[in-house]
Amino acid sequence: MSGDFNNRIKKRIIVIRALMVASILLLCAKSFDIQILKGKELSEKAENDYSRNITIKGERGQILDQNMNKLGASIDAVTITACPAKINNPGDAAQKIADLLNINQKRLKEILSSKRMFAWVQRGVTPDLAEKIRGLNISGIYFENDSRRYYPNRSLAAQVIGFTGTDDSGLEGLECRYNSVLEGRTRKISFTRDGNGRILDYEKQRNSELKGDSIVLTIDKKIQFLSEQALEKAVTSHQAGSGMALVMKPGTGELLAIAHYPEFNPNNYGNYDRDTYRNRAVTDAFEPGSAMKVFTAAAALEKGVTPKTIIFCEKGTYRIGNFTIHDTHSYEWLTISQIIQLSSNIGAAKITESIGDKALYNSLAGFGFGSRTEIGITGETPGNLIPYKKWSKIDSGAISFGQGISVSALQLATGISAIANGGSLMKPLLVKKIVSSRGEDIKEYHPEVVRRVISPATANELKTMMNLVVSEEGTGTKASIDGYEVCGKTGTAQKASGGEKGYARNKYISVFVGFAPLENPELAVLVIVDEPQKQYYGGDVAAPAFKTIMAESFNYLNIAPGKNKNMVARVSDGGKN
Amino acid sequence: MAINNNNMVNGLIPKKNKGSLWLLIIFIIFSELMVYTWIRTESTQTLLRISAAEDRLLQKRSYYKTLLAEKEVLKSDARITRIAKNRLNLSTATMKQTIYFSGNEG
Repeated sequence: MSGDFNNRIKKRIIVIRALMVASILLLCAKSFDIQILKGKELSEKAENDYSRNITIKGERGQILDQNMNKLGASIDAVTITACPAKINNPGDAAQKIADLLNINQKRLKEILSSKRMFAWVQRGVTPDLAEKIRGLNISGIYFENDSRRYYPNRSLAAQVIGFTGTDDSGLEGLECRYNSVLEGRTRKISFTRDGNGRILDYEKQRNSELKGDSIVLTIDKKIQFLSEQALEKAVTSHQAGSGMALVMKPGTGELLAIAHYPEFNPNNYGNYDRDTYRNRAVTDAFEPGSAMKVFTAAAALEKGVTPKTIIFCEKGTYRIGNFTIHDTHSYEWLTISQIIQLSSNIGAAKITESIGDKALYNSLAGFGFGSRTEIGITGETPGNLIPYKKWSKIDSGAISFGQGISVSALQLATGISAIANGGSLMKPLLVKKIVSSRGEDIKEYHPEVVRRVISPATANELKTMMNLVVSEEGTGTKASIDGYEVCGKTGTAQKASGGEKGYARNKYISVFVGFAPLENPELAVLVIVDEPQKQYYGGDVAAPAFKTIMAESFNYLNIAPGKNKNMVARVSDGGKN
Repeated sequence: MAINNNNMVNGLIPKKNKGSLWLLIIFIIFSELMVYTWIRTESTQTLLRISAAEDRLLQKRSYYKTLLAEKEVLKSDARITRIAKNRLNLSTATMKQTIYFSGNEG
C-alpha cells in the first residue's frame, strides 16, 4: 500500500518536473524568439512608441556693440502647435487658450475645429504662459521649445541691426546680411518618453552646442543714442521729412553711430512703414550740395593751386552755357580758402574750369565717390558720378558744388575722414569681429587703408580751410564748440523734382559734415536733414545737430578741449549744473 | 547507510538535497529577476529625476536669459535719460560745464 502511494507520488513529481522543465524550455524558446529572432523588429516597434526623432535648432547668436552691450539677443520662447483632429472639445479649448494668449478666440476655434493633423496656435510664447497652457491638460495641444529675437534697446540702431522674421531668419539689416553667421546650427535628435508619456529630455541640453555665432559691431551704444537724440531734435524742430547722422573714427574708419529718423521698433516692425526699415545711410544716394566743395578744393590743391590763389567770383552771377549759377552773396575776388569759407558756387565752378574736368573726376573717384565702399551691407549704393568724358559744361560746374552728382552718406563721411586723417581713404568698418558662442574670436576685421587720396600737406591745408567755415565769418558758425578747433563744411542741395526735369522748388537737403579737433581729429560727424521747412541752409539746420553730437561724444569719450583758450580747469563729468 | 553508500557509488547528491538545490536555483533566479526589475525601475526613476532636474535647470537658464534681456532694457540710454529728465530734473552734461579762466596757462 505504502509502496503504491510512494510510486504515485514519485510519478506525480516526475510529471510536475517534466511540466516545469517543459515550461522553462518553452519560456526559453519564447525568450529566444523575442530577444534574438524578433528582437530587432520589436525594439523598433517599442522605439516608435516611446521615442521620436526631431530636428532641433540652436539659438541665434547675438549682435553686440563695441562694449559688448546687447543690441540684438534671443530669449527662450515656446511654440504652441495643435493636432485639431485629437482635440475633443475645440470650443472649450479655444476659449481657455485664447484667454491666456489674448488672441482672437473665434479664429482659434476655427483652427482647432478643423480635421487637420497640424496647426500653429501661437509662436514666441513666453515659457511662463506656455506652462499655464500646459497646465490646462488639453489633449492635442503640443509645446515646442523655441527662441524669440529681442531688441532690448528698441529703436536704437534699428536700421543697422534689422530684424528677423517669425522663423528666426534675418529679414533686414545685419540680421539678414549675417544670417548665416548668426543662425543656430541644426541637429537631429531623439526624444524618449516613459510609460506615462513623460519626455526623458536629456538630449535637449545639447542645444547650447548648436548656438550661432555672435557679431560685435564698431557701433558705440551711447554715441548712437546721443546721435539719434540730436538728429530727432533737428528733424522735428525743422519739420523735416527725415534725417541721418553718422559718426566715424577718421583714423580707422570705424563707424560709432549710424542714426536715422524716423525710427522704428524692430520688436514689432509690422506696425511701421516699410520705408523706415532701410539703412538709408548706405542704400540711398543724394546730392550733397556745397559739402562737395571741399573735395573740389582738394583736387585743386593736389594740382598745385594754393589756398591763397584768387579767383574772380563774378559778383554773384555766372553764366555757363545756357545756365546761370548764383551765389547767395555777391563776391568779387576770393581766395580758395574764402571760396570754401563763404561757400561760393561760382568760385567752385571756376576752380574746376582751371584744373579741368579730368582732375576733378579723378579726385572725386579717388575719394570713393561713384563706387561702393564695400562695407558689407546689402543694397549699398555706389552713388552716381558720371565719367568726365560725358560731362557737359554745366555738369562740371554743378558737380564742383555738389549738384549733378549723388553720393551716399557713408561715402561722404568716409571721404571727409580721409581729409581728417591726413589723406588716407579708409574702408568703413561696421563689424569688428565674429565671436563663437563660447566667446572665442572667430574672425576679426581690422582697419584697412583703401588708398592714399591726397598728400598730408593738402589735408592740412584743407583742415585749415574747413576750420574757417566754423569761424565767425563762415557759413557753419553754429557748429563751433567752445574749447575745440572744429573743421566742417555746410551743404544745402536742391532736390531733384520727382518725374520732372530739373529741381523741385522749396525741397532741400541740409548737410553739415566735419571733424574735430583740428590737430588730431578723433571723430568725423555727418548730419543730413531731408526737406526741412522754413530754414533750409545746412549751417542753420544740420550744424547745430553736428555740434550737439560732437560735443556730447567728446564729453562721453573724455576728449579734452584744446589748450588754445587758456583753459585751466574743467568740471568733472556729471557735475551739478 | 546502505542508501548513502548506493548514492555515493552512483556519484549523485542525496535526493533530499536535490530539492533544496532546485529551490536555491529558483530562489537565485527569482532574486536575479527581482534585482533586475529593481535596477530597471531605479534606472527609469533616475532618468526621470535627471530629466526633471534638467528641465528645472533649463527653466532657470531661461529666466536668467530673460533677466539679462530685462537688464539691458532697464539700462537702455533712452530709459535712463527719460527718468533723469522727467523725474530727477537733470540735464545732459555738456561742454558748458567747462570753466575757462583768463590769463596764461599754468
